[in-house]
Amino acid sequence: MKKILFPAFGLFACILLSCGNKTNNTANPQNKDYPVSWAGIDSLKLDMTKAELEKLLNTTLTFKHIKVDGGAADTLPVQYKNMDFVIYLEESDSESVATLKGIRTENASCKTAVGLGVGSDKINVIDSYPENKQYVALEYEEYPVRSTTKSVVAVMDTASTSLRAIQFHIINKKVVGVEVNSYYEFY
Amino acid sequence: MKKIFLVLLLVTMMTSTKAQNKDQVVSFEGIGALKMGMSKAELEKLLSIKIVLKHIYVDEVYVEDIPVKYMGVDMVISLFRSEDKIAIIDGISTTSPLFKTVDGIGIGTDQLTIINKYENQLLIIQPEYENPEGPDVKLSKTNSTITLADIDNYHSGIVFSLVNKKVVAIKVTLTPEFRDRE
Repeated sequence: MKKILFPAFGLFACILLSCGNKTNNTANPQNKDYPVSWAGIDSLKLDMTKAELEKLLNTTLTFKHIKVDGGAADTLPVQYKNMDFVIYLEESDSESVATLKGIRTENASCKTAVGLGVGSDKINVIDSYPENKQYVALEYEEYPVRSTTKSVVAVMDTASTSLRAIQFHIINKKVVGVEVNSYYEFY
Repeated sequence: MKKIFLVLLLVTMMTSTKAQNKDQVVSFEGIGALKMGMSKAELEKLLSIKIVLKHIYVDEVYVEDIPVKYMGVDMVISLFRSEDKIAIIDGISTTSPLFKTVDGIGIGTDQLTIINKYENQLLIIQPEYENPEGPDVKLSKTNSTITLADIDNYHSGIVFSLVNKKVVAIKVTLTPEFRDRE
């Protein structure tokens, strides 16, 4: 009886694994990665103008501050390729109105060239950029109360003269959000 | 009588250990009794030495490093020209395992321990350059620094120099990033 049961169990396990692989294969095309770099995230590039963004996102961006109440910056939630992003724009010249200065996402499909993104370990982020200046900074729960679980790793684009940074937002030593900024300074 | 002697000996040992530890603590204020901002005169009194400056008020250079002995250990003090005190301490460096932060970070500590220890502080990690003054300047593959920055007053920092991710030197100094905020 035992001799019959073992091969039967083995066959059942093989069928299960095979089903699992099939599921994974069909899911792979949907799990496309979107590149995160100091230039931006996928086709969302820093310094894009309002008009260029509107064309790419196929939407109209409505500001609450820029050219409205004298404020120089706006933060907007947007959808891009069915993913949620938050974009930061700053007022620019009258022709371009505003330009893109920051992009943030919590989507795990957005990853750096070395595969870092939501879910990565904080220490892997730090170890992945040995040639770059990095700020490993605290976060505040509510100023001045310092968080014991949240932090940010800002990797500076030291390869060029720009002050651009890729920020990895961390909770409990894991990346929970990725942000690309045209400028980073700790405050 | 024996018991009293033992108790006294224990108390003396504990007191001296505590005092010794205080003299070995690395903090944003300095290392032990060597404090940032201390004047040349105060330093001379503390170390019982006479400092002869080679640059400050001698030529146009405003800074100079001087080797000193503190607690029998070789250290380097960076002095900065001062209008009223001639020179003040601008940096203190050591490679001795005798000196540690209150958290126990010192020579030999690894990078991961520093990162985990100062989760709610600001750390600035930077690669070092090989031959920084020469024509063939390039990033070092082994040497780096981690600066623990004092964000409470945006002033000083503790710079840990690392080789292969282990601390080999400690310097208390002004955090370069914060200089323009003073």
